[in-house]
Amino acid sequence: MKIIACYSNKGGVGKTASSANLAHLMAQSGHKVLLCDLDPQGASSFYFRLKPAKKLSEDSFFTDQDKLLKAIKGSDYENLDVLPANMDFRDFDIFLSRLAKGHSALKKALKGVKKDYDIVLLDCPPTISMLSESVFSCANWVLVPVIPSTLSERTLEQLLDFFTQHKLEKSKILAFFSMVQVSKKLHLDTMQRLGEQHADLLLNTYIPFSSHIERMGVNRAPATDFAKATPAAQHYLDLWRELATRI
Amino acid sequence: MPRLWHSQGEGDFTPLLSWLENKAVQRGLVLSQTEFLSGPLALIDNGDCQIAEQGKSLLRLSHKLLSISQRDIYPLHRKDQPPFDFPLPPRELCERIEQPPAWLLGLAPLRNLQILARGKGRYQQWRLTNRLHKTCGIIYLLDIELNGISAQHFCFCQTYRGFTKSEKLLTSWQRYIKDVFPGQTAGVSEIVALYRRHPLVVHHANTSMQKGRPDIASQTKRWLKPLLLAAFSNEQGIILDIDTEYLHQYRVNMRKARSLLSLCKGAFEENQQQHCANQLANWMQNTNVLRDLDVHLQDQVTYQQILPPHLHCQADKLRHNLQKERQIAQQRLSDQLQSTAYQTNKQILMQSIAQLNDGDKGQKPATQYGRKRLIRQLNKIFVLTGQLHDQSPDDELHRLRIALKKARYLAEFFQRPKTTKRLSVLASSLKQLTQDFGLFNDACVQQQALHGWLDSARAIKRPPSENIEALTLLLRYYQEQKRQTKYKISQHLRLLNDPNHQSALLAATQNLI
Repeated sequence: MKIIACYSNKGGVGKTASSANLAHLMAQSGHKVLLCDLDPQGASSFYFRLKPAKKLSEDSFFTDQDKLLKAIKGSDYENLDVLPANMDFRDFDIFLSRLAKGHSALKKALKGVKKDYDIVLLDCPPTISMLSESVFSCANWVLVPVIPSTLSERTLEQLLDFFTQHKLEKSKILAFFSMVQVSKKLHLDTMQRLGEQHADLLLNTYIPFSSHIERMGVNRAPATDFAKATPAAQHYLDLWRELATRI
Repeated sequence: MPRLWHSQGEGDFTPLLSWLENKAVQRGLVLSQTEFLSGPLALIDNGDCQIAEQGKSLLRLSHKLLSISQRDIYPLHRKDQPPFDFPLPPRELCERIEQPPAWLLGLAPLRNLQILARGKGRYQQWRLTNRLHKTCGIIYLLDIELNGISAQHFCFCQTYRGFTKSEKLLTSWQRYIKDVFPGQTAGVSEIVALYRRHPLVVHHANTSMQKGRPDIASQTKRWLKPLLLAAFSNEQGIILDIDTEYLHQYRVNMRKARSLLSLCKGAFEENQQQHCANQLANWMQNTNVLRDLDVHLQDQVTYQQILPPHLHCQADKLRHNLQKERQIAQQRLSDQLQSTAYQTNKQILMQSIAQLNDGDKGQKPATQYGRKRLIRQLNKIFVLTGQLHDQSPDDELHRLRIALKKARYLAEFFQRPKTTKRLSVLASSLKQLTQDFGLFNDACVQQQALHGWLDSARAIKRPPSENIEALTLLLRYYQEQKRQTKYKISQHLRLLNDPNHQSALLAATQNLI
């Protein structure tokens, strides 16, 4: 089982949209996928028409395997299940900081689903916290959407510094440009500059800014399903193909 | 991820949906129909029933393709708009549907898919959704009415992980169905059994050895009958010209039967045996022209690749002429196969085989006879191999090819069900060798035909230069192909010529059968 975390310290960069679309594409290509919504806002769950997992509190998530398994819901797509989030997930940090082995708690919790899935995709909340450390420790790959703008660039640098300080494997990080507007010179310049600086961790495929991705909330389905012929969905397909060669 | 259960039998499940609808409302769920299809139904498989062999059934209902098995049902989505017309090569079907399943991708490419049974059908899809319009369960209902069997009704239910309300509801509905229609039987196998009787479905000859210590005469009779029936089962496919595999299998089974008769000398009275073998040889001879034309036409793609672009039209012309010739040959063979004389001779031959009298060696144990015969055949191969050299004419290689084929048949026939690994290794290595020889033979056939065409083209008063250029290039290509295959065969033969290998092979055969 491979664990892929979709993470960025900055909000609104397309983590959830990327998680939902990639999870759908992975499942379509025959992998058994669990999309784990760790963000208390529960946007991933919303995209798949799922109610929050009321009975799964922050402590039962990490300590009660049965409850965790029962909270998993089947999506409308073959091979794709979702672990919906709920507001209790906002207390993950407090709970993990109390644990002696908080770093490895997520890895331990996900052991229970190992036999059921080929890929677990973690849709992470935008924080650098104890939960993030636990995510970095258990994930085989950390997928980072980056908007080619100053603030988003800054958060990528912060993440790299964090990995250096905590002696984490930087090779786990795979970044890609998200919400790209090729008509903006700033976007093109930033993409070129970052591409030169971080050629090793940046994927070649970028995701364009698209109204079809925004409409995921209206259709409550991945764009790769309801708008599969659109450029945005095609870019996600390219991203998955590139990712598949790396993982 | 969906979980499935199913129920099937002669009871119509549709009226029971109102029960489910009422219960769903009580649980805050909505049951609604999301798909409905009704119309003519066709059951599709190839002549070997390879889809049925995998426990699947492929249906065309109106213009939709559905896959059903004892466990699941799903539609195969088309990539393009035109409807599927059968017969259709499996590769072409795979190219025309989205994400073709593994059981379809693995079908033999030479067997076309065709309609083996027709009837009427109705397909419905119902969904159980919650307040968020999330699907919690799907119900597929399929009603099949075919000529010859009573209507079959299938119900497949798919539940989604974590939706316990819906799962419990569908489980109780399943119990309700069982109460209303107790003792439902499996339906997919009944449908498959129906089309297995279709004239385009071929028989497979069971050529395993009898248990105990059978004598060679009775054992050979037991092999001959299924081989001939398997050959005859391909006739309808040849007549309708579904695909070239029918003719190939007709010839393979005939050849095996004829080889058996010629190999098992002394098992039956010689004149009877000779008469049967001659009859088979005559029938096979009638198919030679069509077989050769099939070989040429299968190589047409290669023609396009070999020839430079300015000569592609010559390849097209050649194909056109070959197709015309093939049409004539196919018609001639079809007429022969449908003729009263052939049908009568078939019956006479089957009777003759049943009435074959034992020869002087007829009572010998089959295994002992087979062992001696295989050893003799291997010795013959060693002698023929020893006589070969680089400049040997094609005829000598052809003789060796026939000897190898006969040895392969002997090894295949006389291997016991629990045969030791070495004998099956011998049989498979002989098969590999005969396949290489087959390629050599195909190249010879091509070369011979091209020579003939070239001579005819040159005989014309004003020989067409482009045609001659194309034929010369093709001839050169096949000469080179023949040379390469000959070299490959010589590598194989080096091992066969090794005295140590020969004695090991003979010793193993001595002990193995």
